[in-house]
Amino acid sequence: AIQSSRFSCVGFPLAYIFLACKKKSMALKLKSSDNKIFEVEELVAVQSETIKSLVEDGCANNVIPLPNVDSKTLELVLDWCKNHVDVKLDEEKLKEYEDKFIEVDLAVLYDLLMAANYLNIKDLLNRASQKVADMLKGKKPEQIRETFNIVNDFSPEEEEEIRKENLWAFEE
Amino acid sequence: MSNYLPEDVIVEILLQLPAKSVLKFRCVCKTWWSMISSRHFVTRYLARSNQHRPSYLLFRHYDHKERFTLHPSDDAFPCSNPAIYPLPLLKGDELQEKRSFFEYPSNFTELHCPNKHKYTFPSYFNIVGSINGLICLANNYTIDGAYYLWNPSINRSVLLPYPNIRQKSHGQYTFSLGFGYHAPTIDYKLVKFVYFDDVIPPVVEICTFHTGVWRFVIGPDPQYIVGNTSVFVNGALHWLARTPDKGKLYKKLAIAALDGLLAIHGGQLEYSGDRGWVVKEYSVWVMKEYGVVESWTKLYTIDIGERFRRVNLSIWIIMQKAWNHGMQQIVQKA
Repeated sequence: AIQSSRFSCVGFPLAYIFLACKKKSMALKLKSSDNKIFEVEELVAVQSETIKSLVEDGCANNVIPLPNVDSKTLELVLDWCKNHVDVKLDEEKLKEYEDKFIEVDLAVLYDLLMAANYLNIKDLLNRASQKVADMLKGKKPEQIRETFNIVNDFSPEEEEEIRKENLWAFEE
Repeated sequence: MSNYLPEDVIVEILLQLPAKSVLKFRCVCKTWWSMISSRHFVTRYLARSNQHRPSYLLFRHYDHKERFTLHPSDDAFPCSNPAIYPLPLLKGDELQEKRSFFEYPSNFTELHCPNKHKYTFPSYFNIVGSINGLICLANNYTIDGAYYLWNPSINRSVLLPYPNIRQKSHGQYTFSLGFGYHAPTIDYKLVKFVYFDDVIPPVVEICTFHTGVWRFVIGPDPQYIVGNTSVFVNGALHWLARTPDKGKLYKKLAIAALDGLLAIHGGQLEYSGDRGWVVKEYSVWVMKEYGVVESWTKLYTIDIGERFRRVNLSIWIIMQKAWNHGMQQIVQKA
């Protein structure tokens, strides 16, 4: 076992040099919560600020475990990253892609939100939040509580007080 | 499906919502209330809306009653309409019979003016300035003013304390106001230049909204500020001023910000006997490079029609009188 690990230690920098010359981007290995390994170009992966700082700190030489992201979600996230790494893609096409990408079930959307937050991918986080916000904006506070399983901890008097402060916001 | 989203994700979602929804959702639960009320959230929300929201033009009209309206920057304004002027000067005039501003097709939002009900006598508000969706208003029933900070999106206004210099204790004066924002402390400021008998340098008072205290500051070089309009650009307040040369008339009057550049919307004044001050033309000037005096460039000149010349005549006279004799007399006459 010692021998093989030593071998890989020698092999890895070689692979690095090879990749660096050929693609100008090193491959990173990401492991999802359900133990699937994803091999991605560094340029794609470092759109995640979380991964970027791992790379910068030299902690990305082995497989990077992502215990908060399952393989289904990670696949989607990496697809997003791949499409945002190519700056040549024109704005209209990118918007088209994003619109299509975000048309998913609420459950998937939540997973994307959580992943984008954990991996710190700003544009994906914004886009997914915008999608949820669009679904919420017309709702009543009661419906919001229902959607997020939130218990109302205001007394009726306290709630009335807050409503009174901005009555116009409650007009339909 | 997990219905649980951590607080920082909820914040990201709330940041994408319109102000109305955000305010409504304050009563969801205590956690949401404190998230939305936090200074951190407010600062981020502001930064986001400054980045993404389109610009609007804020108008004040006098159309039998005072109104404030918000227009998209591409609004097709009714261009030949007397209702946009602040004072009911045209009583008995045929212009009064023209259609009201609000009958023109225009995609505007009416804002509900604060505290109007408190004044039974005719009084009106001047817009001192607008920053981050907040509007600073000055009620002109006295020159000491009642100054308000107004947030039309939550329909709330705060009355600021009165300045140290008051007409009652200090006598008649003329003044010029400016509304500014100090980003590092997230605080708003109101500046008032006060001239006694047109003597320079003026006395300068500044009110910091957070503390609500007026204090005196040393003003800039001794100059006369022209008109009562200021503009807040690049973190600083700007006024138009002239050097104390009594023989010369000032040439440029109102100031407005265009595309982040400082611009002056001015008029060439010419005196013509009994007819008083006549505006010959308007021209729009832009300072192309911020802070470089040589970069002032005339963009275009607007030819105003005969009828407007008459309307403007009255306005210019009022400005002129205000400049010379103080606002008090003007308000009394009006």
